[in-house]
Amino acid sequence: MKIIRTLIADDEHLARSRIRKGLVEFETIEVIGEARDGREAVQMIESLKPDLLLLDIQMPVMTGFEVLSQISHRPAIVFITAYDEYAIRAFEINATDYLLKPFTQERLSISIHRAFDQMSSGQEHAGKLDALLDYHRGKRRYLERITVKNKFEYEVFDIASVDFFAVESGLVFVYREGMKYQIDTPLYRLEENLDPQHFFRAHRKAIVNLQKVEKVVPWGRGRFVLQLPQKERVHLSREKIPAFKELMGLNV
Amino acid sequence: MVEAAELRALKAQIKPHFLFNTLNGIVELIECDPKRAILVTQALSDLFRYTLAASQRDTLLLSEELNHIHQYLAIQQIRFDDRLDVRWKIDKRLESCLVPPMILQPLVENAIHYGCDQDGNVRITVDVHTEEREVVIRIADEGARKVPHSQLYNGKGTGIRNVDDRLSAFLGRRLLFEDNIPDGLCAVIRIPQRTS
Repeated sequence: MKIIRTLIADDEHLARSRIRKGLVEFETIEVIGEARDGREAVQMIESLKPDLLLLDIQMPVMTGFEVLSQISHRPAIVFITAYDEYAIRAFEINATDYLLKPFTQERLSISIHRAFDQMSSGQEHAGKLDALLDYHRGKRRYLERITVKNKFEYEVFDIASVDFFAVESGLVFVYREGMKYQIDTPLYRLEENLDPQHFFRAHRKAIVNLQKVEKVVPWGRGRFVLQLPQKERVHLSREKIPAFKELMGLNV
Repeated sequence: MVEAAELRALKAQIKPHFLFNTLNGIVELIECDPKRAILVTQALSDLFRYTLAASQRDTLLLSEELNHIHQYLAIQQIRFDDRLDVRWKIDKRLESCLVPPMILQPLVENAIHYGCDQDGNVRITVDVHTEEREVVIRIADEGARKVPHSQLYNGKGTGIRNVDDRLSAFLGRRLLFEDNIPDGLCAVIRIPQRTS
């Protein structure tokens, strides 16, 4: 009988003890450690090289996905989550089993048996895990296009062709080639999805495409204004100046 | 009257992630510590009831707000055991002051989520005192993560923004952030001292 060396990673002690108790009925499973956050999980996986990992997705310091992208050892995995729409979509799309908290003993057993199958499938399991991680990383890919409504049609633009985004009277506008279009995406959401190497939040109400900045004009008392195509101007808020200088290689 | 959008925001204060993790904790407590399971279930019910009641009020007593985060933190402490440490420095004379509802829980929640030190421990200080006839509420963590303060208002979670919006709407005040010394973040609310 081969002993299955098992690691539990969850930030809540009650959750860990729940899992531990649930594993008792499996004679071959031996719990060799418990990690209380993502960083501990990485250390323990690399040093103990468990056969099986029960991994909670939301943990402080580092999430379960981040843990997996930092380890070279590939154990069989049972993913556990209380509620994470994003993670669940990733699992569904990649046909990966996951356990929702709270779970019954029956449901845990199903997941453990599926994990046993992962162990016997070897290569196939590793490939599937890599696909899941690729998907996870891919989701973080930045916005490449933007769709705006122009009268009765929708126009699609390459994101790099946008000059800047700005809020005016509570509405968000896209400025591009002398035209301006209203969109419904709030600025903070745009900021999350735009490549920070190219798009910069110049102040509370504007995000500029750094490649479209034509001039940086000193505006007195250490302030700056960015000149964009069509002589459009966007102020740079004081607290953004150091980050802006760094991105633009500006030494003044 | 509180507007419809704000009502929705208030009702969204209890996050599904918190709810399901708490239920998971209760399941374990039912077996290992039934008395505690009852306490947590009661605290969870109180949290929901308060959130619903608060969504129908423009102001309530500071003592009610403090009691609410007390319950919330009690649940979190049971979930996180010795990893969460909370200190209270409350000037009791200020508890009858009127404040907008649900301004403290999002701040405490933020401190728990992002305020852990390098070992994953969270230490929160809730401080209420008075300065120049204003009530000053400070919620400080000792987290290791450095976040630019301006970014906090635009974060993914709407909690902080919501508090800021409501302070602006009701009192024309902003929610402020300071660096905590030596580490961490401190959210500061200053409101005029007013009783019913």
